[in-house]
Amino acid sequence: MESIMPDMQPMNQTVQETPQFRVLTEDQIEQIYFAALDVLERIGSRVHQDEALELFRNSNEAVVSEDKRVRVPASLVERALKTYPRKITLQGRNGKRSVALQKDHVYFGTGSDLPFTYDRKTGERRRTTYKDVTDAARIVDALPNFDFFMSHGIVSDVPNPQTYDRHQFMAMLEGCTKPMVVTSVDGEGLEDLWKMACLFQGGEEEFRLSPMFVAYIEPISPLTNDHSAVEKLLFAAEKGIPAMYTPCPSSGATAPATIAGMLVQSLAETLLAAVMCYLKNPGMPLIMGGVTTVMDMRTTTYSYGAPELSLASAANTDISKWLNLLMFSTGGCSDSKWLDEQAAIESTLSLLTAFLSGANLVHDVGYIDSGVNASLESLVMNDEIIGMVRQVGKGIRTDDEGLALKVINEVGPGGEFVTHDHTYAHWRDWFFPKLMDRSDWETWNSEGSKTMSDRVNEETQRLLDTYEPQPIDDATRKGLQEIIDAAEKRHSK
Amino acid sequence: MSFRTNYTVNKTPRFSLLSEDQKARIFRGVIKTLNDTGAKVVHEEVRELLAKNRCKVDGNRVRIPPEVVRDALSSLPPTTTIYSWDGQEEMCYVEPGRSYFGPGPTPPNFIDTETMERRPYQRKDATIVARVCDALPNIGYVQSLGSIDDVTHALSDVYEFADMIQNTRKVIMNWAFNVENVKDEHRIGIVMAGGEEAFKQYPNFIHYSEPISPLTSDFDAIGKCYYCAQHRIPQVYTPCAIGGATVPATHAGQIIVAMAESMVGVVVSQLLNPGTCILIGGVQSILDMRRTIYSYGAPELGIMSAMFTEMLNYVGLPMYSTSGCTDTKKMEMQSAIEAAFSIHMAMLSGANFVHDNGYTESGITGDVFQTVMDDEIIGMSRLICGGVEVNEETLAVDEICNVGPGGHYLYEDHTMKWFRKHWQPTLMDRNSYEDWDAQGRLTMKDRVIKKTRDIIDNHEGPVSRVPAEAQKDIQKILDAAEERVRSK
Amino acid sequence: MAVDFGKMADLLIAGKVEDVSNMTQEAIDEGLDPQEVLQNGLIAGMDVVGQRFKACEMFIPEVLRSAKAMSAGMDKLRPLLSESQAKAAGTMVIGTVKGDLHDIGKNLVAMMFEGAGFKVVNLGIDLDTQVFVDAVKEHKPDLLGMSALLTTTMPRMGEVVNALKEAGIRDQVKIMVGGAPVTGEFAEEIGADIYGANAASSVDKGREAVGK
Repeated sequence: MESIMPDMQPMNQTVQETPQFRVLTEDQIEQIYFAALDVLERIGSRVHQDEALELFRNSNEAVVSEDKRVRVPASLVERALKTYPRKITLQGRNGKRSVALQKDHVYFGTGSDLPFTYDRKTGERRRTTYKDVTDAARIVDALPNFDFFMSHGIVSDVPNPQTYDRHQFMAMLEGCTKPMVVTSVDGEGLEDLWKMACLFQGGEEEFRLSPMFVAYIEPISPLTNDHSAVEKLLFAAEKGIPAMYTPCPSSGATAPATIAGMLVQSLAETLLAAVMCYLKNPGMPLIMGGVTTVMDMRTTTYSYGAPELSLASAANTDISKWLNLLMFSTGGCSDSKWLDEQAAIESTLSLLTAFLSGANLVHDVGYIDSGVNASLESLVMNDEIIGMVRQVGKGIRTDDEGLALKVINEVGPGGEFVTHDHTYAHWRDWFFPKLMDRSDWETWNSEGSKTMSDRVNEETQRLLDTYEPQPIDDATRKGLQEIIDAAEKRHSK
Repeated sequence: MSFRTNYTVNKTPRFSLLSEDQKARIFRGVIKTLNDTGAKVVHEEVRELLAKNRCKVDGNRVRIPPEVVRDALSSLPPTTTIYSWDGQEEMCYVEPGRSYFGPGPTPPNFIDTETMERRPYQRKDATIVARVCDALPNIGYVQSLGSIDDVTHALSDVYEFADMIQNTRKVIMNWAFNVENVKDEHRIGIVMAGGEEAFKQYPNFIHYSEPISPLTSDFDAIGKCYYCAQHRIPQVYTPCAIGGATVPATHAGQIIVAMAESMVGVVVSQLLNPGTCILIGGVQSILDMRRTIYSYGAPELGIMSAMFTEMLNYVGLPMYSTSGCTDTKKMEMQSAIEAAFSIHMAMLSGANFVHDNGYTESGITGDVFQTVMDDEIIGMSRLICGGVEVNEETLAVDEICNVGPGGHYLYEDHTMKWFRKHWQPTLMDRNSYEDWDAQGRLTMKDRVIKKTRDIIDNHEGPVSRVPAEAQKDIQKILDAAEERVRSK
Repeated sequence: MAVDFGKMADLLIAGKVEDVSNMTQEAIDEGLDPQEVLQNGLIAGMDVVGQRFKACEMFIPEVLRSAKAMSAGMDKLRPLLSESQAKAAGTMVIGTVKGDLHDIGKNLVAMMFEGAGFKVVNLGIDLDTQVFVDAVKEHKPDLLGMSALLTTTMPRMGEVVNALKEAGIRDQVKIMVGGAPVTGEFAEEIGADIYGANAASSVDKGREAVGK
């Protein structure tokens, strides 16, 4: 029966379309921020690069000491902070502007430069090769829940460690069309990678509007900026290349043993970079970052699985949002040496927490062995976990259709909903497992009693056997090769 | 001396799925459903009670008007304390934001702790589960993970409770087939507490019973609820709602049905004995539309449970939630993911009693190894949900300046004081690759098995401290129950 | 009054740097045999620390406190030990190679070796090859430790080994390398003697290699 009543929405309704999650109050964030400013005024940060020191000297506000320590007044920091963009949209070599970095948009991707890889044939670990990076790239390109790619491994089978980054980027491009985060040896390396990317994006200006990658750069905690890091940062500032300056403090060793203290120091390191970039080129696209975790006090491992990593990263993300900076965070990683239940647990907790926090780029997905070992299977496993995590982001629908009061009344006590149209219309909103098994005991046995490890392994092999990314056209390939060859030539002397 | 004012902190993170408006709207849905659709109550005495108290009774169907629900909610206790069996220690506080994780009741099968084979649950398993839970620091209360197969079937619930309460000081949540058996279990609780008055003052167990979705309270379930309310036994009255099968496929619709059918128990309990403790909640998940199983690993379970917890906080009811469970057939990578997901959601939402930690095979098999793994996950989740302490000392500005660029914190007094607050793993491995390799390349599963067996071999629990008199009295209760069953 | 070695060991275990230093001085002032003070006081204490660390009863910050106390006591004793005794305790030169400013791992190893009674010369970070060569000439250490965290700086360690060969002093010293990307195979490849997988095992392996 058609209703004659108008469709009436109740008024004054605020709806949480997504969950809300927050670690710190604004008051707490302010305390951490003021403490970081205090650190920059009192002790500062050491900068091992002459151009940067010159920039600070010429500012007439920063104080540069004999020992290369730079101290910065709060007023200069606050001025610098006003200049950074709140939005950066990355475009892969496939031409899709698929990663829209803006407040509370969350994207997941791998980490980079793992020295070792588990060989899928022998099960033993060995040095990571060019092919390993291409394989990881293809898998990330194929998996729907990965949004950006870092190299996962570090290519070791290259002629010269001083030019490995160009080959590594080439390996990444071969396999993956999604936006990337790249590492480079030094400023010159970054320049080559940027030139390579510009070949796809259609030149320097186009790259600035639709950058293909973010440059990954890290200071050394506590409060130290080495030469090549600063060189890369200044180059990125000059060219308007998005860059993250991401401290990796270990609480108790290279940062205070309290999370708040670690965040203060980490923020001071970030703010110094913010001022440095501001002095070079105000408004360059800088992204805040941090792998904020503890040093395990029994094994001295820099822990990628510690719950503190999740908590501190989420708190750090709260700070980034308050500062209007985009955030590069961490999740989906593990201390386990093997892709096992430990890796599953540590990945799940950190991914769920990172997603809820609203960090923009969540990296290191698939790291095992505390950032030492690469495993292709771990990428496949994490893709499933991210799918579950994103289900939380769908929130709870509370309109008339969601409340289903008429349906409930119609079915009544003791009835069933399986055959109801309402169920037919909505069951597809649920999460669809690809690797999680939900069969009954008999079916499971008759289908070979497979564990999730078995299924992850099979899926990894299937992707490796079948997935072909969109190829690179010959002209572009030639241009890429020229840049690489030129670099080799320069460095062969 | 303080230089500061207007300082508010998040002592813990804040998490929510629903706005105030959304909660109000869902609650109106519950009220409307109870008033218009009502529920089936298959128990004459209970229907009479409800009819006498402004409810509309039509055959089995009972419609509960808003004001009756309001009155019931307003007479709920804001807090209830549950004690160790001897009443000596306050073990659980049933109040907002306090989360106790534990196993679940009644799967038919169990993973044998020696052979690792799946087999019917035996009497000895109840003791094992109680002792293991007694030893695990993050397990807050205990359920059996099974239903005993090798005793008189009609009394497996009573045997289970009789054995378990002697093997852990933690609070037990028991279940029963019917009111007769609840009475036996009540007697056992009284014996352990040291008398009827002592039990009233220091209740030492919580009783679990289950209405049926959609909107049905069967004779035994509501009968047990009635008995517990009369005797002021803290209780849980919760359905296992199956999204897309016994309740709507939309989460809001599901929670409205689940909350409405449980509200029958809340109303009955408060009419009989205002201020008696009752929790609702239960298992909230979906029917897997490919395999047609009730999924214990679906992310929807964690999401709906968190949402339900918010709803119950909104109306002032404690939440009996679900986590640490899986659809896979044994403890493995999948169970690790599903458990970590649901545990973290339950912790974030602040559910009160969170059950089914140790369920595998979609609730068909109990696995205490999974419980042991869950214990570690709960510890990690609790750390994340413990928040960041921000004050002069933790900000550590002086230490940062003293250490300076390029220094380290390993010699700092500040580090000595604070590093022990870092979470210490008991199962998570953080060795270097070389040490791990040298120590035999153990995986998480190997370590879980070792830890579980260490507990079983070495943790005796409190059984030797149970007074001989009490042990005899419990045996008498069991003998009498056997006699009753035989005479039927 | 005789010095109570048990108390000395306890103070060391508790990481009381000043107290251990003072007590060592007292023992010296009383004319006790420095070797005896070393063995029965300091080393006895560090042995317990080592056991407790392995049993997860003590953690790194506490171990390092004890190591610092050990080192403070050794500073008092070292001038008094006979040359052979002082030599017996061991000397180590340690540093991070050129291009690498990461030094927490290297510092951890240095501190742990101090705890083992070694005299440790910590050269610092970002070091030219020649600095290592000169330091080996000057300090005549039993052990040379090098670390690198970056794969780009790893090859520098091989350069140091070669430079030592060229200087004709390679065989005077055992060479230990470490850092996240380093492996036992890599150590072998570049001609180093020992691969230190982590701070604790570095000390075990280092002591074994130089017979201390």
